[in-house]
Amino acid sequence: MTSIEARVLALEDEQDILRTLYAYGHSIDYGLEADWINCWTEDAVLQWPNRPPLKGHDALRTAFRNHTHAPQAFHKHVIVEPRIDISGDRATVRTMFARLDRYPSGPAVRSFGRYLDVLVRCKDGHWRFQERICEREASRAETPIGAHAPV
Amino acid sequence: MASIEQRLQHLEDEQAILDTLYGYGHGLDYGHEDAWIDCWTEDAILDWPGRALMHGHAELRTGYRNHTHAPQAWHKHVLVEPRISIEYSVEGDRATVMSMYARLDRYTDGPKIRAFGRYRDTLVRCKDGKWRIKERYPEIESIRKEAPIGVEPFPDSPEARKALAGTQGEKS
Repeated sequence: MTSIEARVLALEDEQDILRTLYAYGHSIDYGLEADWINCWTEDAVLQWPNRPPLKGHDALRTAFRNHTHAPQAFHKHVIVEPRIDISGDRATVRTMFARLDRYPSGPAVRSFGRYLDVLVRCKDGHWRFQERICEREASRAETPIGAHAPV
Repeated sequence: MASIEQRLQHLEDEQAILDTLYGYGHGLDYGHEDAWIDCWTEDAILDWPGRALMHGHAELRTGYRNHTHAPQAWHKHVLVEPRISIEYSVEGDRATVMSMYARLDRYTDGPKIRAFGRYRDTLVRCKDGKWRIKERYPEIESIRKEAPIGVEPFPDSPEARKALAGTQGEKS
């Protein structure tokens, strides 16, 4: 039987991982640069579709600044159904995502797919992305109001 | 270092807060009036854009009864990615929560997103131990001009006009 301490820690780890997953979407949608950078390890890799991989905080920061944020463009990076698998200080997470955007006809789903993530527990105790691969499975060709055209 | 009891309490509190957040959408969508009213403190504030600010259970109940519910209209108040921050204090425990939402509705040509935005909430732990919403400020960022089946159009307001900016609805 696992100890109470270990069971509580496992639940805390899941909650902390969720916090990081949620921080990604909120901060990119609202332009919270420091929050977003704090989601990543120093050597993290982010693979957005049809773009070269982004490696490390400098590259991530540049990509963040090139991305749209409210109020320039209102969009939502929505994640659901995170499947979290923790092994010691490393976790793999598979999550469904949908991106919502504003179109002339009204709000609509711009794309959906899944995130394949690796997170690690850092020295300060927080879980951060070491790797995020964004698999886009469906995408609308039309460019949303205020946002960049699809790549 | 927090004790194991304090850590467990924090986990339980996050679950209880989620239960209240989810109670809002389910209660509103399916007409569970008492369950919905139980989401709120007696002095709670709800500021739906374009409508008079609601303060306290009597005004919330009126607002609730003026809202559509199934089966008159089928809609979903979908809340995702709640960022919960709890402050424990001898004066009373309090949580601030920032969540994304999308409202899904039925249209003549099928289901669509009617609106999306975010909720800015404050919840408090009540005397009976339940976490209830003390303040909810929904922000609308994108809306559809056309009314869903069985539902009134969005009331005109500065927030609605901003959320419609650049859309076909803005021109009509």
